[in-house]
Amino acid sequence: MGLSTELLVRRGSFTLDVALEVAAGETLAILGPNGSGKSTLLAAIAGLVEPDRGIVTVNDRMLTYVSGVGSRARGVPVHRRRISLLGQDALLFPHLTALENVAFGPRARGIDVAQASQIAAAWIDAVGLAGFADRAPAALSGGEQQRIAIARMLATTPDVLLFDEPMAALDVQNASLVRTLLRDRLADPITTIPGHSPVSPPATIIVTHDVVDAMILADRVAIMDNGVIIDIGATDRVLQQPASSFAAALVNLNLLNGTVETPELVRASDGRRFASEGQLPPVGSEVSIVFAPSAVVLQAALSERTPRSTEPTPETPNTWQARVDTLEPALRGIRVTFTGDSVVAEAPADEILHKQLAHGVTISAFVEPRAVTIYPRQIRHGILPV
Amino acid sequence: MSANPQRLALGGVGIPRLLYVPAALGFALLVLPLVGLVVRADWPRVPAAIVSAEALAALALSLQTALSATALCLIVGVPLALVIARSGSRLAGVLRALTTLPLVMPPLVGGIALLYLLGRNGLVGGFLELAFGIQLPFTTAAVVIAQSFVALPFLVIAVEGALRTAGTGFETIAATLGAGRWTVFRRVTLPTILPGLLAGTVLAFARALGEFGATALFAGNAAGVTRTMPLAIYTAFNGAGATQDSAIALSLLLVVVGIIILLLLRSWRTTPGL
Repeated sequence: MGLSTELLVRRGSFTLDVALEVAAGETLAILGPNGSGKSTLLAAIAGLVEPDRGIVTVNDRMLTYVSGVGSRARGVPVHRRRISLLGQDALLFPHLTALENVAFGPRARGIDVAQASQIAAAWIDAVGLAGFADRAPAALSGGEQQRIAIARMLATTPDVLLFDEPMAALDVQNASLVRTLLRDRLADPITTIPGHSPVSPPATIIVTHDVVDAMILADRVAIMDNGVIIDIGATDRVLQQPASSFAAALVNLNLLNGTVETPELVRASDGRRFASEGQLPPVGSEVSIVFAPSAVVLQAALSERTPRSTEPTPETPNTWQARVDTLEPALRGIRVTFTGDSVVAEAPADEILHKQLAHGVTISAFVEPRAVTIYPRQIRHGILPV
Repeated sequence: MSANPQRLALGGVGIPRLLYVPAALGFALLVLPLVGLVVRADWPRVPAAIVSAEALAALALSLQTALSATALCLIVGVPLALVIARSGSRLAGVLRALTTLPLVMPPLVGGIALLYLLGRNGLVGGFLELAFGIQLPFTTAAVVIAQSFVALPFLVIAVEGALRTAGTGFETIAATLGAGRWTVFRRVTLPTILPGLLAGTVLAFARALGEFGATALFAGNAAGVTRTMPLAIYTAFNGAGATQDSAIALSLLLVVVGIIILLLLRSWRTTPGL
């Protein structure tokens, strides 16, 4: 039960090539840079975009089946798919009250006005907006509109819930309210409506650019880039052992690719060598090397203070030299980037001041072995043969 | 809902004083003729002229045909606007250009064109007479067709604009909530474009009510059958059947109808929530 899909969508030079399954009651978060195909994926699942090839199956109902180029597409129309969609904008019908908006779905499915209003009132209550039922959408704040929109989609007890950055247009406080609401509702789905047989809990996909959404709402996380899923798995694993620089940046980690050189040493592709306290994969394995920016210890500027004799050689593990490029404000202190290097460091402002770090200064950097995580590299490609 | 740039302007810098002169001239050009009409009217005889049998017949015919034409415009115009609004940009451009052609065409030309399409020897008219024995020209139906021809572009443009502004987002959401195409059209599309639809309807009605050129050529000027208000005014002014005084009285009546239409339009447009 749940959602199962394989999709190939070509749009000009862009190709979406994705296969994934989401179980009933499960929530999958999809993270990825802009233009990676996340919204196209949702549109294809919802039946708004016809794939060049692919299958969408929900609870054993075949909703989309396109076998290949030139074949007639077979598909269940959008309104019979039992798939609900919510984007950045609530898109509440402006001519209807909040209650009428939420009652719209039940009404469209043939439930009479009185009962549909009853269902709608219960859902408005469930999103914490009892008392707002008779308001026009224009009289609601952005966060309230989004909560009514969530009530509206849940009131149809859909088989699949698709969210496309539902918190992106909200301020921090409202985003937090909506996130909490989604967490509660997704954890405790209501699967019965009066007069109808119970339905299975929805399979949920939430596209987001905020790692907090993934951490709080998702059972699993997928990372998409350039039309393919490059990593998918349990939220903890995907975020703590990122397979892509995008995922690493989301959780504010430095990620380098490398190869295991000896049982104790890993050589990164740029020549830096790293040791870790954990057990390394077999010699010759492709690995990912991960450490936090705050774990990078910056030594005093070499040109000014360090005598030449003690300058660490590039061969020393976990140590390298770099030229400071920019200093930027970070959450705790200052973020330092280096010329021609993807690694960033973070340090308290007073430390930066004390060490007189500035653009163009060459420094020596060091990471303790216990702060370095090394794990086999995840290499995934699209599933459908192109 | 979009940001109002005037909020930042803090009153603005004003306009060049010299521009007030042409502005006043333009305003005078629009308003003074109406003043002339009001001043020239022989007021004691206006009521009698308005309630004369001829005037009442013309008014009744005008209202009847203009309302029919407006209904016809709604029935074919809203679907046409939907098709244009939901077409690809190239097809929409072609359709829009052809739809608005009657706007830039002199109505007299429209009347001749209708005559050659629907007249006895016309493309469709010949067939209609042969197959069904129907003759359209110089009937009340011809008045309605002529009025629809000139009024339809106003409705289509207004509705199409409203549809484009509304976009397809609401319709998509409605479909994901389980609404079929007809339900979406009835419960989402139509209510969303209601202000544009009302404005377009009123404009089309006003245009149909004032239609003269196409009607005169295609429907003629038969009292009680095709003599609408504009044709009655023209006839009275030329001295056949009535005096110039009744032409003025009838004109005043049309001005009043026009003002009422404008006021209705204004109140609809400024109603909050629409």
